[in-house]
Amino acid sequence: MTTINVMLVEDSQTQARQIRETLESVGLTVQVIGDGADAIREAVANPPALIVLDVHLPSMDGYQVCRRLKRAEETKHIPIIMLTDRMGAKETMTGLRAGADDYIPKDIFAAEHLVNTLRELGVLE
Amino acid sequence: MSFSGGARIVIPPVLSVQVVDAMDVMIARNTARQAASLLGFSSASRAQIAAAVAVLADTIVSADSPQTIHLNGLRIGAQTGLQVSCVAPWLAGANPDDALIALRSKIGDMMDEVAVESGTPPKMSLILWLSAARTTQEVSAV
Repeated sequence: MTTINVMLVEDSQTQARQIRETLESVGLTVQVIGDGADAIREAVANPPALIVLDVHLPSMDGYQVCRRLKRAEETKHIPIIMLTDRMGAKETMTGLRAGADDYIPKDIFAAEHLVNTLRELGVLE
Repeated sequence: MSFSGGARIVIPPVLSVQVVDAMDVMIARNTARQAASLLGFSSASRAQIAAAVAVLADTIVSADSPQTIHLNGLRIGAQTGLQVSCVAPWLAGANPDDALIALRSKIGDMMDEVAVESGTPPKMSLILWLSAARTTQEVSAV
């Protein structure tokens, strides 16, 4: 069976655990990183199949991380899903213009949104 | 982006979602993504449409007035788009201009056209037009 590696960039341990459980429940292998700069370094060195990216991060926000990943030759092909509680029109457009493939809410249906998007992006069958 | 001067023809897909509660907001979001996908929108544009439809569905839930959101393809000449619409009886007593300003403030620039049609009941309508940039991944320099 092929292993699909997903990088989860989330600084909240509680939320990281919940999202990780969702991703692992559909057979994905998850690496959790709590800092944007570390995530960029790791993604360049070992590109994952998908990046799930929180907006709120300590050293640089998720929008900046997304822009840098989408500009770097080594990482620009990697689908990025931004997962956030900032769901206003302005924030959504900022995320999508930064290059995110999807921008989905951290609500009670976050797991369903995430799995639907993974199917649509072809990460899951 | 907006288009005028030609007949607006409804084309497939034609989908609808009844919105009553928070679960339906999620279903509406997913249905919007499906409709946008069938018309050839890029993944980012599908996300944009899904977010706008979620705003509309949230508005319905907040108004405590169950309604059906309609999604359909739209064509003017060679131009194709996705139209999202629903009736909004809770706006019956409101000034249509004020209602439009409120809707635009929520939708922002996620959709090309945002309209509130007065009537009994009033109707809200959103359109996003398909363009070359919206059929592929675009990364801005913002």
